Amino acid sequence: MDGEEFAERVERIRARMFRTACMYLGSDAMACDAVDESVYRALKSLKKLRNAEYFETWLTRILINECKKQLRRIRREQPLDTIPETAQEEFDALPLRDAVQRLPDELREVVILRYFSGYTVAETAKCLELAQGTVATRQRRALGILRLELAEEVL
Amino acid sequence: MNRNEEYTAIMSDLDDMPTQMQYTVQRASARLSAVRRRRRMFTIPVGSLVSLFAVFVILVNVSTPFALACGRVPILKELVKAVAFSPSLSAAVENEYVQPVELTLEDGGVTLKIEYLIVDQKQLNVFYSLSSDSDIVLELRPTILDENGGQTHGYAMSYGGYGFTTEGELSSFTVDFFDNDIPPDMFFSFEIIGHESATRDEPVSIDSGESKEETEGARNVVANFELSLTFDPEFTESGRVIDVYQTFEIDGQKLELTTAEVYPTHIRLNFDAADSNTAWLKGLYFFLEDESGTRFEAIGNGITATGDEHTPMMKSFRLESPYFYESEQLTLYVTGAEWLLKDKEKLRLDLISESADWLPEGVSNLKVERRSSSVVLSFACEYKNGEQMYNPFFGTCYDEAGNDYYSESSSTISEYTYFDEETGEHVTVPGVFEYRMSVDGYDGDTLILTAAFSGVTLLDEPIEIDVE
Repeated sequence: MDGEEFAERVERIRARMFRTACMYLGSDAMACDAVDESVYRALKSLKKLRNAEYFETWLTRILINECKKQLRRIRREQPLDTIPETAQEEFDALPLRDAVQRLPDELREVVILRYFSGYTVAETAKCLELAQGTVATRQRRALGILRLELAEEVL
Repeated sequence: MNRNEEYTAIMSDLDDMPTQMQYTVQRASARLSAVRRRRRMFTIPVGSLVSLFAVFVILVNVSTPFALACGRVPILKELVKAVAFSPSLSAAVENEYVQPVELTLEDGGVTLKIEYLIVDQKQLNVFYSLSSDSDIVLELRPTILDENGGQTHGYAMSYGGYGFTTEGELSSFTVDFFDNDIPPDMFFSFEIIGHESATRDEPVSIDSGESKEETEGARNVVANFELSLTFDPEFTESGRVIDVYQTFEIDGQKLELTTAEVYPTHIRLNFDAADSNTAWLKGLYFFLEDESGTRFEAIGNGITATGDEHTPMMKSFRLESPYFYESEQLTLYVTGAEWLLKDKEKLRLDLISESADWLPEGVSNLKVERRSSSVVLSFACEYKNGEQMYNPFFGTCYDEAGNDYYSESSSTISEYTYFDEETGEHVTVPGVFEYRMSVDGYDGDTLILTAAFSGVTLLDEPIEIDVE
């Protein structure tokens, strides 16, 4: 993949990357930094991508790892625990954006990709290295906790 | 506002992407170019021919783009070929972690070209070529000197191709520092040995009948050079240490992975063991994997593990380096270990009955051959961990009175074959190689050997340890 193709393919998913990072990190500025860092890392490691067909999945994975790294740093400075799934009243009391941030990690990452970044079940499964059935189960649980009525994609 | 209305509002906010996002690729591209320019390279003008025993100082301080300073694509291809055996060095070359050195030295019709260096905090790799006016095979023997011209210690040297070179082709030698870091300056003395072309074979085997003195006497020194190298700290301060401090247990033996030292040329995993363990750790079967599934195997060429003089335990193991992969997470998978039982460090051989009080796991069939001035022992050894051959014993051995002898030569033969007297045929045993060792000047009836290991544990499920 040459520089021109790299730029084109980043352009195609740039908006999704920004939305993903924003929902992970809660701020436009931090989201921009995370996207910048991920694009840089991808450009630097481009030769390691064996199959160009998986570019978007690969780049998204880099972004998720970068967001998790930033999140760990943020939580060290300002501890913010996740809320257990059973504590429905606590979730109900929060604005939706905060409620998403307080979901258990495995549910949050699925709902962000599926419903805020526009990835399909299959794409989400590839990015997170999960079975599609697992993605479907987790999205259902997350939507239930968030009390969101959104269409579930048929597998 | 109900939840779905909140969702719609958030999606609308997210559509409003900051304008700076438009130039993310351009920023990444500019950043990558800046990083590559910051790597310092140096060149020395081509064509410096010097006479015997002249000393050169090479300063690493010229900042020039790699391709421009090098300007020699064919030579670079030779470097890629020369490092093909090492994933870590290949990654170093791919990431331009190379210092080109265009230094040519000549003496007595022999030309030595120091072409490239790959150096980090703990290891120096020197790539060079040798050529001669005569039809001889050249061998380079380097010695590291201190600033007073005396020999230094605390390092090990290894060579590609036993130190023999093919005319004009790139060869290499490696200097490994154990506890200390590479010093900022190193002084080398190079002895160039010439061999007749027809005798360019593997080093003398124990079966040839030649003594060490005979091979030493045949040495023909055709040239000598001395050289001083000064390194750029950007390369020699390139390592990092990860605190791990995770304990685990294999076969009842408690171990702790204390730290991981990551260098461009290799990664070192350092271990500690409980005093209550009944066996010393002598080997580990393992690999590292990062979050993208990239695997880093144990070093296959060069130093694989080190210990110290206080115990038989091997304390530090080396793998190919993740340095250039910028891995976020590293997981160690331990699949087995080799042990030396603390009460079984030595074993006694009866050279008359060709028997032993015990032998390391997988080692058997002692055969003894007496020669006029030595005794040759051979063993059948099962391959370990796939196709790996090994030395089951150390070179120092003892008689019953405790006097020590040293086995100057040992060899391995990839197949083990014996003569079946019943069938009258030679039989090759699959999965077994032959190990032979010669002890000069020994005529006793028993011999005490020091075992390199006593047993092996292979795990059904690997032990996973988060390194980073």
